[in-house]
Order: sequence, then C-alpha cells, then structure tokens
Amino acid sequence: MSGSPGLPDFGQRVAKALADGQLRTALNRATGRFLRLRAEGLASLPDPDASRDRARAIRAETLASLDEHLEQFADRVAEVGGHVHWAADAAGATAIVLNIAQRCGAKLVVKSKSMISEEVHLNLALERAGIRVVESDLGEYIIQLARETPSHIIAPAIHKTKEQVGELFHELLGVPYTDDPKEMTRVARAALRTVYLEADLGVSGVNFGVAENGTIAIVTNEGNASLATSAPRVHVAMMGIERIVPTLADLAVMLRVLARSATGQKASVYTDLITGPRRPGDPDGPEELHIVLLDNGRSRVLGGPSAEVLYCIRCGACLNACPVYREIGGHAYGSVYTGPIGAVLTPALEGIDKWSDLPQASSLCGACREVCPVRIDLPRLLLEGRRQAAEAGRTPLWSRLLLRAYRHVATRPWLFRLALRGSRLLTRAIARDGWLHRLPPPLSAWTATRDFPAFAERSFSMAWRAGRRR
Amino acid sequence: MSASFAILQRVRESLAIARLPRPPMPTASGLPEIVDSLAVFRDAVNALGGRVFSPEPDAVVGLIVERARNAGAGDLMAWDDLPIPGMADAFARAGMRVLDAVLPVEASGRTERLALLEGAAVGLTGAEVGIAETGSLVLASGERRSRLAWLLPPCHIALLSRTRVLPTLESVFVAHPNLCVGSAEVALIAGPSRTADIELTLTRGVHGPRELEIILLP
Repeated sequence: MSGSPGLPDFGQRVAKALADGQLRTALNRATGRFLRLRAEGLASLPDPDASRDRARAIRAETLASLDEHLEQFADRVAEVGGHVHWAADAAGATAIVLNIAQRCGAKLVVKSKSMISEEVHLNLALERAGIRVVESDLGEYIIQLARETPSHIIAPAIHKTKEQVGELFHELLGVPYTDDPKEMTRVARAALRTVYLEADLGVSGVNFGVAENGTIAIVTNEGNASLATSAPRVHVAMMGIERIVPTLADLAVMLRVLARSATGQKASVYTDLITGPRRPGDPDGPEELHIVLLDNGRSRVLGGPSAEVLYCIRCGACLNACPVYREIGGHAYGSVYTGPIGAVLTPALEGIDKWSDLPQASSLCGACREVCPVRIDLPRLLLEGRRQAAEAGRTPLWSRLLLRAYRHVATRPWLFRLALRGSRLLTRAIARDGWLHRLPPPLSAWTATRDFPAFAERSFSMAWRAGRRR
Repeated sequence: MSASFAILQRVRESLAIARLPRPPMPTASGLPEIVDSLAVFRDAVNALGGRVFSPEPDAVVGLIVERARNAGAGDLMAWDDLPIPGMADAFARAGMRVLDAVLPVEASGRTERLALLEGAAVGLTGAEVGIAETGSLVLASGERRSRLAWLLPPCHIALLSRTRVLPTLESVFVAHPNLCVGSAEVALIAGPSRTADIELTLTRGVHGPRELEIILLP
C-alpha cells in the first residue's frame, strides 16, 4: 500500500501524475469546489477566527496533559462496558483486531472509513487470515473494487471519473453500464445492504474520543458508520491516541470547525456519539464494543519538534488549498496521509529516512496554514522536515553543492553583483521575447515543461538605489 | 509491562520535554447568535433536503399515517414508546404492520431478523431535541427505542416537540448533561443521508434514509 520512495520513485510518481490530464481535471474541479464550500461554510459563523482559535486552544490544552485525558477516557469506556486495547505499533493493532475477529468467528467484516486502519494496513492482515473485508463509504468502496488506495482524506475516490466508476461497477458487480452517479449510488446501496446484514464485525474510525464520559464521536454523511456500528454483533473502533477531547463542550467546538473546513457543511449529516455497547433493554446495537488506541510513533512525535502536527483533526482543507497537491493528487505522495499534513505526519511517524522527499513537495506558500481549522503552522513543520532530511544526509549532492556555491556568492556583495550582471547579460543575449525556451541539462528539467524569464534590465537593488536618490 | 503502561509512560516522557505551542483560550465564543430557534431550525432542515410539518393537535395521527402511506409503507419500524395515543390502532386500520425490532443477543438469528427489518419502508421515531444552527435532530437509543429505525428504512419520520429546539450543540449538552451517559447511541442527524463521492455529484439516500420528515408536535 505505501511505496518505499527514494527520490527517483517520488519523481516518477509526480511525473506520472502530471502527465495524467484526466486526474488533473478531476483534482482541479474537486479541490476548487471544496475550497469555495469551505469559505462559505466558515462565513456562516459570526466570528470564524474565534472558533478556530478556540479549537486550536482546545487541541493544545488536551495534548499538554494527554496522559491524564487518555487514562480518564479508558476508565470511562470500561465503566460503560467497552473494552480498551492499547496498541504500540501497527503490528500490535492488527493483531488485536484479528484476535477479536477470530474469537467471534468472523467471516465478513464491514468497515466505515478509518485512516488508522489504512495506516496499519488492517484490510491486508484480515484478508490474509481468510476474512472478507468490505469498505462501506462509497468512495472507499469504489477504490476497494479498483484495488487502489485513497487519494484524499475525505474524498477517497476524488481521482476517478464517473465513467471509470461506471465501468468498474459494470465489470465487477455485473450491473448494466451507467455513468449516472445517482444510479451508481443506488447500485452500491443495494450491494452494501447485504454486507451490513451479514457482517459479523463492524470496524470504524473515531473522529474524537471524549475523556469525561468515554463517548466516541464518528461523523459521516452517508450513514455508513451508523450502520456498520449498529447492525453487526461486534464493533471495533480504531483511533490514534491523540484524538481525544476533554469534554462534550469541547467536542461541540471541534465539530463546528471540522464539518465546515472539510465540506462547508454546518454539520455532517450523521454524528454518532457512542457510549458503550448495547445496554440491557436496548432493542439493537452491538453486544461488544472494542476501542483500539494506537500509538505507532505518536508518543515520540509529542516530545519532538513536529509535535504540533498532532493537533490535526483530519478535515482535508490543507490538501484542497495546496498548489502541489492540486497538481499531483494523493497517490504521488506514496503515503497513506497526503497533502501538506501527510508531508509532515508521514516522516514524523515513520522516520525521515524513508520519506525525505515528502517535505520537499511544497512551495511553502502558507495556504495550508491559512485554511487549517486548528491553525497548524505547516510551513514551519515542512521546513523542520527538510532540516531533518538535510541532517540525515538525504539531500542530493547537486543540491548541496549548488546551495554551497550560492552561499559563497550571496554573502559577498561584490561577487553577487558580478554574478547578477553576468546572468543578466547572458540570459538577455539568448532570450527570445524576454523568455528562455530551452536550456542545457540540468536546467532543461525546468524548460522541458515551462519557460524561464530573462533577468530584468535593472535589478531590484538598482531600482531601489535609483528610487532613493529621487 | 502492559501496553497501556508503556504507551502512557512514553507520553509522559515526551510531555516532560514537549514544546507545544500553547495559545490562550480566546474570550469570544464564536457561537452563532440565534434568536428564533424554531424558525432557524425549520429553514436549516429545508435547506438540507428534509421536510418539516406542523400539524394541529388532532391531525397528528392522521398526518403520520398519511406520510407513511406516501412512503409506501406496508411494514414499518417504530419506537413503541411514542406519546401518540391511538397510533397502533391507526396503523392497523391502514393495513400497516409494525415489525418487532428487537435483535437476538446471540449471533444466530441476528442476520435473519435484520433482513426482515430491511423490508420496512418507514422508520418512525421520536427525537430528544432539535438543533437550530445545524438543522440537526438529536436521537437517543434506549429501551423500546431502536437505533436501526432511523437508519434502515428509506424514509425516516421523526416526531419532535416544537418546544424542544435549542440554538446550538453546546446548549444541548448544557440542557441535557446526561444525554450520552444515558444512551449507548446518540445520533445527531442533519438531513437525509447523502454522498458526493462520484464526481462531487450530490446524491441522497446512500446508506441511510433518502427522505427525512420531521413532524413538530404541538
């Protein structure tokens, strides 16, 4: 599922994505629409920045005493009859879920969207044990049929056209071809109904765990988490240890910015607040509730320079705002978490050695920080990633030499002026209409897909001095 | 050493050296100001594609039966503690059957019971409160209150007292502090089930109900 990207792999994935016109059209449409909806959604609040500041302060306070909140959460869950399992790493988490599945003789598992389950590659582990796993979120269902991975946190099949989905359903579900999204949704509903009714186990993610009473909150628009956590006899909920809020009042603040930042909605259609399993007298609900708390590097990140990344509430707004994500899409990152947040979170959790290229996938324009509902300083964290990559010796030789040469020139004003004059004369001599259309390698990497402007006749410092004299 | 102890130990060690940005809590609440909760609620539900009815007291039973028939109800799922006298008789007269929604505790028979309930055309439930800001219904499971009643059938009819609409989710948690402690499942439902996963085309009724009809009780 995850790639093992050295620099060439990453470059190849990016090149492949950039060459895919259909993908780029789909990305442009989707991310542009999400950004507009987000802006409208936040505009429905009298003081959107106050809500975001509040959400950020809650995340900060929660993490500052995460140990106490986690203990309280686990105690409350146990009091209402739920089982809490602590998983140190991915292997631990899959072993816990597999153990539960085998104990209840599960043959079929229905899943609602869970990034944690992607992070630990749960489906693979269950399928290896001969258990069938079916994703129930429509987007996840589509990419599961296509044997692909999610390319966006909240819209996993954002990269597929309706014609591609139509072909997929026709081939794999044996239904007549249609490219009408409404008809395809009806087909998926019917196919998944059987799964809900027959599944022995429902696996879900968790948006927030509430420490004061052991409630878990799960949001969807389709209602798939509600069904996956109500119909099967056993419910397993998977969450990262950082996804805690202290109180229900805090939860209300977080939900207000989460839905608006993700899709512009004032609230997601379904917010399920689950407090323990089915109770005596209840007509339905799961007999068992298991909550898997996953560490997998988070406790270590908490003490490091990238700790702020743990404030993230997985809304996907930074993906939509990122000029790099908007061009290359999710798959090019090669990791479960994509976009600016993925470029920080993935190396933080799994180590910079394997993922040193991800923090480079940014222009550091700051659009991600501007839209983040909890105001994570993503550009700072991306720079931190680059610093770590450089320290680990993961910067390519040409880049190091080039930067060393630049430093040598830029710290000597006479040399800098000389180099500038040389570049100006040279580029203006070979430019046509003020642009360079073709350069020799390695600069041809730039001119292969775009032109380079010739240097201006007067440099900024020349214009500045001239202006001061006037 | 248990897994929980080891993880908490690592969290504590990290917190001892953590440099988390700690912004102050802003004084502004950021909450929307809502004066007429009922009117805002009604508009919000309509905008989400749900419908709101406000029948006269003596027309409630008739309206419920009419909406159920309109949704094609032969069989329906219904909470059996609804405060509507004469409801059961009215369904019987209309030739509608209320299904037994209690699932067996053991694995055997559960799928069969679910398959039977899947045939219901309408789910009839109450609602604890409404939330004006988001147009959400707040439903709580419990004795005689099936959660599948608001999920499985393609049409969900919810009865809500018109005096129980509050401005925000915050105000719901303040007014009903034991809401979550008191029920294994509390659902906040804003409009009919929807998706935009195929080319961002909005489609209603993907897993949950396609129709959401709210009947305001006098």
